[in-house]
Amino acid sequence: MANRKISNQFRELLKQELQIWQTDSIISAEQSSSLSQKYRLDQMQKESTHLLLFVIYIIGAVLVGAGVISFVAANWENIPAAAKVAMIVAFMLACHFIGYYLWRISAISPRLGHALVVLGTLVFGANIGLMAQIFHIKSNFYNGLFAWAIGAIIMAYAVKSVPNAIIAILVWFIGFCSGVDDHERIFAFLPFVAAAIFLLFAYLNRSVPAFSLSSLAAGFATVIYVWHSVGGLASYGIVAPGLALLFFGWGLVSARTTKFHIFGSPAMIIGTIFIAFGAYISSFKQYRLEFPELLKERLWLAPTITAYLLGIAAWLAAIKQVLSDTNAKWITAGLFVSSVLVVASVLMTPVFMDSPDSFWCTVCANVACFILAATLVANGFSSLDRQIFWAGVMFIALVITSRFLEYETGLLIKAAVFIACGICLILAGVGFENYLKQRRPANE
Amino acid sequence: MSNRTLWFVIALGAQLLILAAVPAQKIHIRATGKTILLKTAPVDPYSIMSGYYVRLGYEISNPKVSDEWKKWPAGKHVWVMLKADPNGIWDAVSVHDRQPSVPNDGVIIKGKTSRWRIEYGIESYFIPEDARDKVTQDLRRNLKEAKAEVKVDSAGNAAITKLIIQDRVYAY
Repeated sequence: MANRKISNQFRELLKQELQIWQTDSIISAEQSSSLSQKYRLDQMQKESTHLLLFVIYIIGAVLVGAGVISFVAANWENIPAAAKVAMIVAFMLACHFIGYYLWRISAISPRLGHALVVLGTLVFGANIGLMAQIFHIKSNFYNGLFAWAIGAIIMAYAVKSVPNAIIAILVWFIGFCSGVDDHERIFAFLPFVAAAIFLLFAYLNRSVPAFSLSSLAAGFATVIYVWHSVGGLASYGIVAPGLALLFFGWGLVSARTTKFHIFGSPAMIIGTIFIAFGAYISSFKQYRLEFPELLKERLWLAPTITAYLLGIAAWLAAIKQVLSDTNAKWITAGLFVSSVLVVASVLMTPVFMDSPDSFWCTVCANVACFILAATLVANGFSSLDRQIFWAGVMFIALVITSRFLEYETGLLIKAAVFIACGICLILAGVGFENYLKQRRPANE
Repeated sequence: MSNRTLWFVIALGAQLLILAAVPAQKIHIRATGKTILLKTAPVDPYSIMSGYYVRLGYEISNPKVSDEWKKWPAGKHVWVMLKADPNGIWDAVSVHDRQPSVPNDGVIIKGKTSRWRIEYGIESYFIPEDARDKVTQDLRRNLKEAKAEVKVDSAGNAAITKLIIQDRVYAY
């Protein structure tokens, strides 16, 4: 327990199972007690109360902060500039100092203290805006947000605070989205730089939320950058498979380490999200029509190639371990084939652009969608995981619905396909639930 | 002081430094700059406000003394030489693509070319909520008579300090 994090879901299940095992005389009371002690099952209630308290403190602190800032702003006109600055800085320092004292020095109320340090960082962000108002600075919105993100991530590293890191990631992402139009060249590698800073924090602090959020923020920032550089659907299909390879490969490598295995599943889920995204976007015929515009620009090349190179490196690092693991082999193979098909579809587009054969590029992307969905459904069955199964089923339903809305077919055919899809969906659900009941009756 | 507390203090110092860096240049300009009066030019009367800021245009935003700057790429730094007229209003006398030497009776203001005008970083002025309607209406009625008091430092950087409409002074 000291070296690795055990999910609360597992502990919850274990707590229920221990009672059953003890009743069925599979384990003794002593064994049950030592397992309960090892996984701190008796503290679960206390931990969830602490989390709830922390959330309440954060909300309370944010409300107090908003109230104080509104009070200062309401009397703005009558307060001299120096006094305004002194007041807002004093408020920020008070939040940080009192919070740090309660959290780390006296440890009287760690959760309230941590909430106040988080409030200090929120007030820091508000203060950047207030400083700009006091001195009539109308800079670009994203400059202020980036400054806020830098201050927040420094504080997150210094006091090992995940909420501070989450503020930094969210604020950075909003700043990136609002500024991506202005500094195209500078913004090209910003997602990679931000990912390096935020992910290092997540690794040092073993934080799955920070890892997931920074991966999603950096990944979608790259997609948004490529989209802003060239515009149109085509940009999504080009960069998304590279990101999918990168995150899934990363997940495969992480899952087999002792220190960082907690990041394995989130990274693989994020990789799957990106390949589903890329395959789905590429499966539209409109995608091919916009391609000529894409070829006129070159700005998308640098981040896209970087994503693919990093992705290939991650897969090369993981391939040996994947081949030795039967469970991982199939889902990895399915995802890899889908990625290759999407990439092939994208690469074939400029070759067949003006010929009727470009139809095959769209077919290729649609096959990628079906393979990915089939892989997810099969993995849902083999791992008895309802979420993975339903993700696959819903994805294929989305693809089929999109195709029938996209192409002009007769209403009768549309009606027949939708009815068939609906029935298949219901049957698949019933079938899967029956399968689950047979395979794990004790859990149901 | 423990290492942990030292890191906290360093992080807090970094936040304070960032906060101080935001207005640093404007404070320097206000403390060391020369005061000049600039005549505002009409902006779109239907959207005078942009958020909490009043949008200002100036006669020097579109200097008539030269058209050369209009051919320069957007985002290029330019230096505009200003001289005071008998009424104390400063107007553009020349536009340069490099910083020129400043004559005793002149001031250099640094700007950046935009698509159709030169921007000096003084185009926005924060108005508190209570005064917003009053100032907006006053500005809309007397747009041609409005003036801005601006400080300009030796490098040509500018900061707006007051908005003056006829005899009414708005300083926030």
